[in-house]
Amino acid sequence: MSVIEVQNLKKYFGKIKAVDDISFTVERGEIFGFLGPNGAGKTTAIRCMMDFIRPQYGSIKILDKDAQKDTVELKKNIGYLSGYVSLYDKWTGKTHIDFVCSLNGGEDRSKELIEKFDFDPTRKAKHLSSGNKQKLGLIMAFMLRPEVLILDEPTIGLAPLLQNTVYELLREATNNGSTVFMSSHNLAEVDRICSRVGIIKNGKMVAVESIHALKEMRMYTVTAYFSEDFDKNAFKMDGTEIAKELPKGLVLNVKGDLDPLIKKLGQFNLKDLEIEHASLDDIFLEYY
Amino acid sequence: MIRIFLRIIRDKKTSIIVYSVAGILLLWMYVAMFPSIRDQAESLSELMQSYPEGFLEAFGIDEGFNFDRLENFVSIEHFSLIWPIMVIFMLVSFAGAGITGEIEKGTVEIPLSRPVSRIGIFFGRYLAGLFILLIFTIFSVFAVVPLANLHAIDYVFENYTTFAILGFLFGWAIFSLAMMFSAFFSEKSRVYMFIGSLLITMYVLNLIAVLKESFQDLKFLSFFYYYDYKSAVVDNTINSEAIWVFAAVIIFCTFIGAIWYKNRDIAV
Repeated sequence: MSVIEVQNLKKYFGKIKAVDDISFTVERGEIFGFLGPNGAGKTTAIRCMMDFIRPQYGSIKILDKDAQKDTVELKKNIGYLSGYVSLYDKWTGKTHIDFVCSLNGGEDRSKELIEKFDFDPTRKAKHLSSGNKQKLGLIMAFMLRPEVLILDEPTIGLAPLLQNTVYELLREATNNGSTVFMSSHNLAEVDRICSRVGIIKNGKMVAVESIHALKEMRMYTVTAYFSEDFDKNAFKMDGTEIAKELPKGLVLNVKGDLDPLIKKLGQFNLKDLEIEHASLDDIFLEYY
Repeated sequence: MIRIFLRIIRDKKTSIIVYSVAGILLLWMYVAMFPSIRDQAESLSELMQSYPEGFLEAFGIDEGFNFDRLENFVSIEHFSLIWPIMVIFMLVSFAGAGITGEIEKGTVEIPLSRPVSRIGIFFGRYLAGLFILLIFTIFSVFAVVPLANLHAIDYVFENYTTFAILGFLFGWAIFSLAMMFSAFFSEKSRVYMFIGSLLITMYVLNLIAVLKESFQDLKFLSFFYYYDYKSAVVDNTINSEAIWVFAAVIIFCTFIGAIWYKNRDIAV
């Protein structure tokens, strides 16, 4: 059973199609990365999932409940982190934590998380740095051991060491059966912790793939040096793009089958040839 | 809803105390002034008769009105303009900051991401606003009892109770209106602009109705007509029409505000 099931979600603001007919599912225990350039519709989709805004069309089910009709019931089991953590200026970290606890009820693990993040809960929010605000947001999201975590850019503004703490927490959460849906700009982070990704562009979902499948996509960077003059137009072929011209050489980006290019290269006197698998960054950029 | 209500009251306790103390101090000032005004009541009456009729009507001063009673004096000096202005400022700023301000700032995501309904959030804030109004009304009106005793001035307790009811209804109607506008918009400044314009328009309509007989029906469009402080404080009466109008505004604006907040996009 899917923990998150989004079907044909559409959210328009006037003529702007912020989210345009996206569908995806997230399975139990999975860390699902939601990627896309700025303005692609990531935050809008997350706000629809949290029922902050209402879609024009489509359905969102979380834990088999309707994200809109059953929103109050659902939020007992959801930990949420906003992309821009907004806090009450006059409240301390502890006041925020106590407030969230009072609304949710039940036991919390805020003390453990405060230690983990080395966070001072006695300081007023208006005196916190952006990194400390992010820490408090993360504590509020994780502290009630939610079944589902919906996180918008969870590591933004955090030092690398603390980013590792977040990754540990995410892994621990999924090991305990929680499901994570997170948006991110950090491709290395996605590569490191996510099992699957959805890529959104201009409001449309352009791909939903496992990280493994993405890495297996046949994309190559071919660098060829020639011992004599060559005609670069000869390499204008389907699936091949000249990325850079070098003195007596070319850098080519290849999608799909390498064989036609290798055959073409064989028609010239090659001095050197290097073939690399494209990095995950390159693959993502291809979608962007 | 109760958690939100309690949290707001805890956050606003300083404001509640400051407003209430300010209300008491202003009342104290008028009560302390009253004995010397009473001694000059006759000459003040003569002076007033020399004022233009329209001017006196605009300030609720009838022919034969004089400052021989505390109720006459405080109704004109305190409850006519200063008290409602304090209530308007207090409640409109609370309503604007409570709903729209939270959306504008993004803090609304904290309660919204928890298992609390939007109706619960709306009414948690609504009840907190009513509680603040109640506290302010009690302290700023009934403080007249110890203050009058302190200065050995006669007073009629029932009249102040009647005014407290009228003032509370007036404040409640304005608060409901402000909460409704706050539920409509995502920027505090727009709430203040709309409410401010509306109340100024109402005030002006009431003035025009008082000054120009041909426009007297305009008064029915103004809260300030139904807020008949003089009848309440001086004559111990509330026009039943005022109760019905305020009740209708309260019910309508609360209902529309709550439904709108429940169904709107709360984009930050």
